[in-house]
Amino acid sequence: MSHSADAAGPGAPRSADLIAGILIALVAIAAMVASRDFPNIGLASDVGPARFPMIYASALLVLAALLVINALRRAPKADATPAAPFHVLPVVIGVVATGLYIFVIPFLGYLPTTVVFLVGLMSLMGMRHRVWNPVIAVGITAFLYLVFLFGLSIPLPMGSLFEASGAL
Amino acid sequence: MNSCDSSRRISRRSFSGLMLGLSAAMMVSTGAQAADYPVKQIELTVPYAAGGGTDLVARAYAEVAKKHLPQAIGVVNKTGGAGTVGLTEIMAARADGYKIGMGTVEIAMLPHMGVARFAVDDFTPIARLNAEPGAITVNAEAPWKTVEEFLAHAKANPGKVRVGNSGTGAIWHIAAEAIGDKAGVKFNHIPYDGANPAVTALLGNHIEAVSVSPAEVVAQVAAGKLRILAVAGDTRAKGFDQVPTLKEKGIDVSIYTWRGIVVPKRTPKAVVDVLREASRKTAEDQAFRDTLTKMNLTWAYVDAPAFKEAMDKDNVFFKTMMSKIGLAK
Amino acid sequence: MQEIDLLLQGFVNLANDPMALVLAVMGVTLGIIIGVLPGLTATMGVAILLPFTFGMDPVSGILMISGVFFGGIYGGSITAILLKIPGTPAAAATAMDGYALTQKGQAGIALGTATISSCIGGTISIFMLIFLAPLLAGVALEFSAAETFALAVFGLSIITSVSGESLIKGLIAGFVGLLLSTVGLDPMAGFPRYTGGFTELFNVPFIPVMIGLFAASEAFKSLGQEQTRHEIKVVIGRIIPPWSVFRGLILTILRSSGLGVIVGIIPGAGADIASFVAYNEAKRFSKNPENFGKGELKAVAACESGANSCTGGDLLPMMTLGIPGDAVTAVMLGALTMQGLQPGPLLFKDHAPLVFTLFAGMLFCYLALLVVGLNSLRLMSKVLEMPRSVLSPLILALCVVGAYAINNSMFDVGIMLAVGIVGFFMQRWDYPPSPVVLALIMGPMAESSFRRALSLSNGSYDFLYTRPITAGLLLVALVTLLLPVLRRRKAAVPADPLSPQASAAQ
Repeated sequence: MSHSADAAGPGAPRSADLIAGILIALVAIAAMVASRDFPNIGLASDVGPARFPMIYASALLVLAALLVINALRRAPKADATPAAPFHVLPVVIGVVATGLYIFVIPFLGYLPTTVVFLVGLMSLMGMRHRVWNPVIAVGITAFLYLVFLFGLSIPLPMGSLFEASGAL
Repeated sequence: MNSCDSSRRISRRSFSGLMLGLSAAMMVSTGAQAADYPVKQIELTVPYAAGGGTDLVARAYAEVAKKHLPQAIGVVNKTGGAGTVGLTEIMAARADGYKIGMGTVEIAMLPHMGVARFAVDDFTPIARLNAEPGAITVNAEAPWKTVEEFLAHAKANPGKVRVGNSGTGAIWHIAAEAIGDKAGVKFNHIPYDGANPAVTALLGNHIEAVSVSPAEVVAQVAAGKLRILAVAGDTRAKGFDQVPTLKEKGIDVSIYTWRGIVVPKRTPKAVVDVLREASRKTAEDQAFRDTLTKMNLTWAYVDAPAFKEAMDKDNVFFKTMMSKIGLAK
Repeated sequence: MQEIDLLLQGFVNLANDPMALVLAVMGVTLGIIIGVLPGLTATMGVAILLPFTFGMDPVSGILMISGVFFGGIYGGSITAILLKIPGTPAAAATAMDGYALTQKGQAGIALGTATISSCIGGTISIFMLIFLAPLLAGVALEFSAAETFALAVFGLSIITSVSGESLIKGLIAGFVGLLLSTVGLDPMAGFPRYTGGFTELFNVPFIPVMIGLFAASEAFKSLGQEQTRHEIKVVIGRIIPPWSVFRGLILTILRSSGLGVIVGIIPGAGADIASFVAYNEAKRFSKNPENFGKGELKAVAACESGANSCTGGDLLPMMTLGIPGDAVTAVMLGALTMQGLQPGPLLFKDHAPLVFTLFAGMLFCYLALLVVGLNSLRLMSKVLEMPRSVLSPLILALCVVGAYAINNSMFDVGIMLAVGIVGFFMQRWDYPPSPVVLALIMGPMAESSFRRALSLSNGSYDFLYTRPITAGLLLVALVTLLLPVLRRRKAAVPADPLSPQASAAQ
């Protein structure tokens, strides 16, 4: 996410095409290298597990090269389209918060984490009501939990901390 | 029960506990208090998707077991990795009897393929509920009326007879390999994504035979579209009394896919005994047997000792077969 | 015709069974809800409902399940059109033009068209199931691995027609999807590829990827936008398209329905494929193909009638031959079997009155879908009036539970998040998400059927040109592949201000 500070707004600036092209090429090469270890187990007349990934990765290499070449040929003109205002920081915070939330669910359980996550995210997006934020968060959480438990018989995680700590 | 500890935890989570009306029993510490077992709902993990055969057996079991256990059993599907994900979870569960599993024949197969963290010994068997033998089935228009004719044809055309199975390394692939091995013929094994697509290919005459169980071709056999030549079981299959077993024909292959209740290795004996007793009552309940019959599944209850013996036998068999056909890791 | 008598008798039987009708409507409603929620698919809804139907009589039980099936396929389109979040893979195709219409302020008409097209497509498919079943069942058996491979190649060729502005970026998205589709157990040898030792990756986590790609990335994007945007009043407008507009859609709907039924019959091909194929053909036959992707009503009509007509096609081989073509019909086969109705060639012979009562009920389900659908649209559209500061967190919460629910696995939730981040950059840098979805659907199909076909023919590549269906489909794929390239050449791409990111400009 190091390039998230790219403030060029919508559309793909030249630098984005260059970065993407290099990243894609790296992924393709990594896939090719890994596929060399795929064994060919003796089924009659099979092309083996490595053939298709090799074809796809080769195509990606070519496409990545085209992308980079096109980007280099294009003049690094200033972005003509007036970009809509876009703030990078809230996105980074939101993504990190979501990651944290997902990480702690198995330990703390679905219910408390979801309420906290929703309250936090709502206030991140500019809704900072002292009563409504928690009320909406608890409402959504309870609704989802109940729908999944009773409607779909999928119990959401209760949290291993609560489960395990009580063992005699 | 550690009441002090549990009450603290209840207060901490009181809002959810109250809101959801979960019984306090859920929160109670779950030590190996085997004497009271079970005091809360039991979770039955199914390593395959909802709606499939294994899932249906599990749900039928859970439904009928309500009558024979003081607590309900809830079915949870943990799919993925050809069963590995769910089976691993069963193995790694806390051995308190509140997380039991629907074990399948893959318990004895996956460990030899280098993809599983578990081995047969990581599970304590409770009861086998269902078992289906493999079989050789051909299209009704095919020239072979008996298994001898079919195998003779295969012998004359090595590598040309295409036998569809439910996936490389899956039970019916091993079954076909075992039959070929014992009969001294070489098939061209064609893996499909499950038994149904293989049967479809056989109906369309794109392959010569399938090695799936009789239950999976029963509708087409009844309609006269397919013909079962032989069953790879110890006895003739129920409902197909006129079809011989391979053993009768001098080919010593007996291979079953089975499903049964298992728990993690270290589960206390008292808990195991409660589950064994409940499983026996459930399996012998007419309602359970009727449900299986309706689904074209064969009732095959055996208690823990016999189940264990069958599992160990399978374990040895699959180990040799897997290394023979180059799938072993 | 004997079928007509039986069907009429079926309607009479149904009329005397109000409980079954109520349950059918409940099923449809439930299905729509399941379809709307990202991650929950028709397959899952049907599987979860199955045990509850064991206690019901056959007609009630099967109709409720059918209702969930039909509603689940349709429901995915609603969020696709309103929020660009397809609730089901089939709706990914609908999202392209449906959401563009919403941005133009025509959400109502798009939703209405989707609902009506779904109903017509589904109804046509049930009629074909009733009257042409014996004739069409053979199609399923004609499709061997070689034909399936050709179909998958045709499906992949559609990537060129859903690539949007930049063909290179569309192809990159497609090939990344294809490479991703090779993650997991290799279809022939069973070797785990690119799994890094995680058994959770033995199958490509398709649904978590889709949720991340569409829903999570959209929510992340909205975090960064000016929060005043939601003040703009969203007008739903009229829902039922005027006759003058609808008249222009009829041919598209009929063609897409026909295609959908055939795709449905083919084993292993379902609503997702049907909707992309219908989109592609609608674009091919259109006089203004350049409008596709920018809010063409015909595209919505094609995708939805294609996807829903798949249902009858799916049911056809399952009921007549006893072979389910996909996961939903496999569960339905279980449901019928449990009710003592063994699907297969004997079903129509032994249980004709009951089967035709079911058919009558399925037609009723589609009527219910139309009524429930049209009536729910205004309520559903309220979602657009929700402040974004509540909507986006809600969407993220839904992403998490939706990704969790498929396998009860937190691992999948992690995948969803990772893909969500990638999807965010794809959005900002103009990589279309649809090619990834297409590739994930078609990739495994292409590889496994190619390698299977090769084994079936003992290593000979003859199957590529000696089998008429295979050769024909490969030819169609070639045409699809070349057509947009040629068009681009001709049109020399007039600079278009309506990039996918233009939402902000609205």
